[in-house]
Amino acid sequence: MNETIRLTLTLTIICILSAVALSFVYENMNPIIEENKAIRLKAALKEVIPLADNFEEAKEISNPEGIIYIFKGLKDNRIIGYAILSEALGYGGDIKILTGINKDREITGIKIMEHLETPGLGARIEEEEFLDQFIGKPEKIDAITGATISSTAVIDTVEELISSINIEFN
Amino acid sequence: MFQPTKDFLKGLWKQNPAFRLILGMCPTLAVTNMAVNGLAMGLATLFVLVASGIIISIIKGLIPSKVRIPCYIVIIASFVTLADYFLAAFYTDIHKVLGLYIPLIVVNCIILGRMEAFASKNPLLNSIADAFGMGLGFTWALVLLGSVRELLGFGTLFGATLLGSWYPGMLVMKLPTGAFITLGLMIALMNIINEKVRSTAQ
Repeated sequence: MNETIRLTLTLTIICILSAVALSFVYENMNPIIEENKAIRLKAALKEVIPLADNFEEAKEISNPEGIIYIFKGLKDNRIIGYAILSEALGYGGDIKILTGINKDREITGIKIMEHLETPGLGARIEEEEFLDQFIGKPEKIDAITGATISSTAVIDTVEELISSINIEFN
Repeated sequence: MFQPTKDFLKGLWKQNPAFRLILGMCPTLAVTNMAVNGLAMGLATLFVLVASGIIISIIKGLIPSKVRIPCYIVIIASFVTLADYFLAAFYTDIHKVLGLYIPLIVVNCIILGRMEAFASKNPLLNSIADAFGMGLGFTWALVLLGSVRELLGFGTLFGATLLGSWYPGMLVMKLPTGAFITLGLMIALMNIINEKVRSTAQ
């Protein structure tokens, strides 16, 4: 009996100490981590809607399946474009794609936010050479050699997005 | 030789975790497609090894042997989480690449192995020396594997182009297959060197 108590107590104390230490670290690091995320998001939004000077999350639009969030790109308080984060199933896992669309349904910019594709192959979907093909109203987009699955995932998802997304401009 | 020096040196070559003990193969094979990834993974593991080694060596007398493994795991997991937060806060780019593998350091058998085989039985100074030796041994192994694979796969080293644009890049080196091949060749090379050293010594 005595031994059981000792075993339980030791493990409990170690768990409590490590939980306290980690929550202290979390309290201090989390604001920096969140700030990094916000900075990255802002930079990405600016990249896909270059003409906008302010961004707001478009909460009034209900997100269809496969879409994580939608941001409005504002210039002089008028909506000039939408940035949509959609999810595609790639070769290594989910690919998160941020697409900027203007009122003529043209793509103003596109950026890969997260992916788990193979470095040197599928990971090349991040490169400008591939992504720049999407700008405007592309008719045909070339896949990357050796990375058909990753490229097709991005191409199909963006095409689907452009044809189905229900957005309004005022 | 001074005992802690010996404890330190053995991890670098004689008992190198990746090349001699063949431990921690998951990160070894998974992240070494580029030198910088190998370096970051090696250093993160080194940090967890040293920090957990210090704590466990200090409190070794207080932990009943029946619950020692869960106690070690909690301590190791805490330092891994700390390393994860730290990279996420200050080295966002590296965290993006290694993010998936950092939590897996918890189950890296090098760490639990050193705690069980060394830190829980030896004085503090020796345990620190052992942890540094093993951590640095693991780091140089990962950096070497990453460098060979990056050079052959991409024609670059630490991101700097060494081979010009004429170099097409060996596809196999970018993929996990290349990690197995390179690791095998490194172990063979190490055996040859050890053999040479032994025959000259005789």
